[in-house]
Amino acid sequence: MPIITVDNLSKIYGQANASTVALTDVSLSIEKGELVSLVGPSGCGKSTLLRLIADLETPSTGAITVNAKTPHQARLARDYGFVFQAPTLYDWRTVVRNVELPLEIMGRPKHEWRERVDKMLGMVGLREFHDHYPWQLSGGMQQRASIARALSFDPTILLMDEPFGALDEFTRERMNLELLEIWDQTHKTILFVTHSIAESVFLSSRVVVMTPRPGRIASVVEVDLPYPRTFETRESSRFFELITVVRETLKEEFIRHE
Amino acid sequence: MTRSIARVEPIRPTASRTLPRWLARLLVYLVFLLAVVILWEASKAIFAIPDYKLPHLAQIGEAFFRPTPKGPTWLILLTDAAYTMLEAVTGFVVGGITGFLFAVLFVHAPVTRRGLLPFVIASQTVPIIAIAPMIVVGLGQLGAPPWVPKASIAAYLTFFPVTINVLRGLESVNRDALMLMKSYAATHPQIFFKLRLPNATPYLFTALKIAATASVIGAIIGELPVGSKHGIGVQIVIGSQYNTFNPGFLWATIVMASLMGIVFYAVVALAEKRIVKWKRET
Amino acid sequence: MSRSESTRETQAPPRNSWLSTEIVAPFVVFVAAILLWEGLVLFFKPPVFILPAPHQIWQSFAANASNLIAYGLNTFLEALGGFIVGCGLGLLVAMAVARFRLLAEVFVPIAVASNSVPILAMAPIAIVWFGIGPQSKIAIVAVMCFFPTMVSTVRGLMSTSPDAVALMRSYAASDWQIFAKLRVPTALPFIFNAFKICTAVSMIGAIVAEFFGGAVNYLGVYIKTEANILRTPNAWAAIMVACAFGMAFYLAIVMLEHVLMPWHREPS
Repeated sequence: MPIITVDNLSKIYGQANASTVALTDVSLSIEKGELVSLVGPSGCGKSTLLRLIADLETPSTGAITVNAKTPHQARLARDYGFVFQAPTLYDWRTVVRNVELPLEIMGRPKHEWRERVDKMLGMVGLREFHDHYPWQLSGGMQQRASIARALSFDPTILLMDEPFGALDEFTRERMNLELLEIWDQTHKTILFVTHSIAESVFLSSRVVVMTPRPGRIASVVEVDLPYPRTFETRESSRFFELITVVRETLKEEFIRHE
Repeated sequence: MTRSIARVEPIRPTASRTLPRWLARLLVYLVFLLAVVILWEASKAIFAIPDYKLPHLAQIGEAFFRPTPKGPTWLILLTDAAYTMLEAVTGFVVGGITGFLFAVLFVHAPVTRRGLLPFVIASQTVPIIAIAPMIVVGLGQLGAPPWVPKASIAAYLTFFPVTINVLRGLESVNRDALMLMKSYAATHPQIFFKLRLPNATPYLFTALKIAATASVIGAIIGELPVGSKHGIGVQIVIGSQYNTFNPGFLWATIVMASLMGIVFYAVVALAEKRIVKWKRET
Repeated sequence: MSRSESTRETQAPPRNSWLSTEIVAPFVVFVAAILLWEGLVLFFKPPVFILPAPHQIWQSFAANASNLIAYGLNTFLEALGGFIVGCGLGLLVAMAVARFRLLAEVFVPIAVASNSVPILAMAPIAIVWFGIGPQSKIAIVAVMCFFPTMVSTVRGLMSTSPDAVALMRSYAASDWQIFAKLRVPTALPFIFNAFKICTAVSMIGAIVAEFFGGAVNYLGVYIKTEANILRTPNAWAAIMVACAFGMAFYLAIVMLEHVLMPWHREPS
């Protein structure tokens, strides 16, 4: 039973004569423990799809199930953690207090927190910076804190919306490796939105290629690179082949709709 | 909200190479003060400015310690300043709390915002300080104790900046941060106390600093109309009436009034420093 | 960012001309307030010397219109004089201070600290120095306008992005060109912000400074005397005249702003 199913989903913004079709007829299923990327250019609806799954927006037509519930129920049950492109840490809280935020809101008892939060900080390598304020950290470190926060309440699913988009390429590649390590340790289901083809191929077991006008799934590419993936993986010929496959799909769609 | 700063390591505050920052600043201000003193006495000497226009600094000092039937002058001035301060603080607290509550109401009940906010803004165009004489006389005629009109003026002057600023602070929450709360299925009180309120605190303090000075001025001006008996404003009026006989005294009253304003402002600024610890030095 | 990616679902707010948002809305509120006031007075019937009704204030005004307007003009000229002197000096000092960072480190904190000093309390000293005539009021208003203008202008001049300055240098622009073509336009929003605050400050400052002493043909003195003898409708009529001058002053600055800053959009 897939952990996330999307059936004939569409999302239209605006009224009859001034509407934008963000998504049309999207169907997808994701198994537990997979790391799947949504990749595509601006306007293909990848972020919208993620937000619909997260119940941060409502669909126009179609159905979504998350963890055998509706997205709304899943959100209320806190089945997933969300990571935004901007770290969205609260200026007035230290790193550790930021990571504790969801646990505070969910009313989990304090003694349960401390250990868990410490473990998460250790996993993202921010233990010594636990009492720093966000402005004292670099962009990459802030994003790591944001990931630790998403994991702190141990959700089954992680939804990530271009989390490394604002970082430079070297930091981003490092963060990719760290994310894979976290995935390996925690076995979460991760749905990852990106506009970088290389990142999507490097991270995922499946790459969902999306194209705009209207936003839809063009194809799904199976990535058969073995895990654990390392720096060497980025230099393998298979890696480049797969990137080309994704790129070709995108090119085709552009040409078809010109 | 947080912005991506492309730094490699976290920033730790570095110690200054020569003097610690606060000491350097203090020295600069002392030098400035010394320059003022020198300029003061020098211009008196060079331009032969009479005492009633610009007394010797020593005369001002002497005025502070002149004994009167009720005690040394500085004590009288201090008591009066304390009286005015009490009026100002009372108004400040009442106006601040009211303004804060209004802002909270506006955020949570948009209907009230649309209906009442224009009136709040309109209240700003009424120059309350200019109406001070009428408020003092009017409330006096109604039998209110003398401190009430002055505190009311202070409250009015505090209410507006606090309402507007706290409202802006409560509403200026980052959209993603709100989405984050939504993703945690946070309740409305949780969103308020953990997100909106801390976000609004810097804005609140900006307003409080403006209101602090305004409250002091409002209280002093409220003491100008005929019939007020206590307060530093009264002393200022007395001082200006007797200035030719007692040149240092007027200046002494004004120094005391200025000290009041500075102390009140400093208290609020210090509170801000302690509470809003997360702001980086801009 | 494409429309489908953004989470902006609502339409953009309708574009009004500056005329409607800045004039019509407050006007409607004003009329509503007047009606409310009349209603309250009718209902609670407070004594005239506590709270007169708007129509009584109007009668007061009508009976004394030419005098009130004349007094208002006198007081307004004090305010205007202080505004010009204070804001002018503020601009000049700010330009000097922005040029030499060292001066900024010293003077801006002093200016900010002076915010806490009740300048109006110094009106008696101004009277001692400049006499009871308008000069003392101009002096007080000038001091009140000087500090906010100076602080805002310094902030504005120094708010240019380092990249924009680097671009100018890549054109081998002279220091003066950088100042005139980059720093000044960047500073204009800050300067006009300060100016708008100073219009209210100057009018109120002039009136309140007159509370400390002045000739009878000035608005502040008139308000104080009439209030003291409980002729409150007269005092309120004078206040209305003051408000009218204040608003006209503010609108004049707003129009100047539109002329000098045609690119500027009102922040929502």
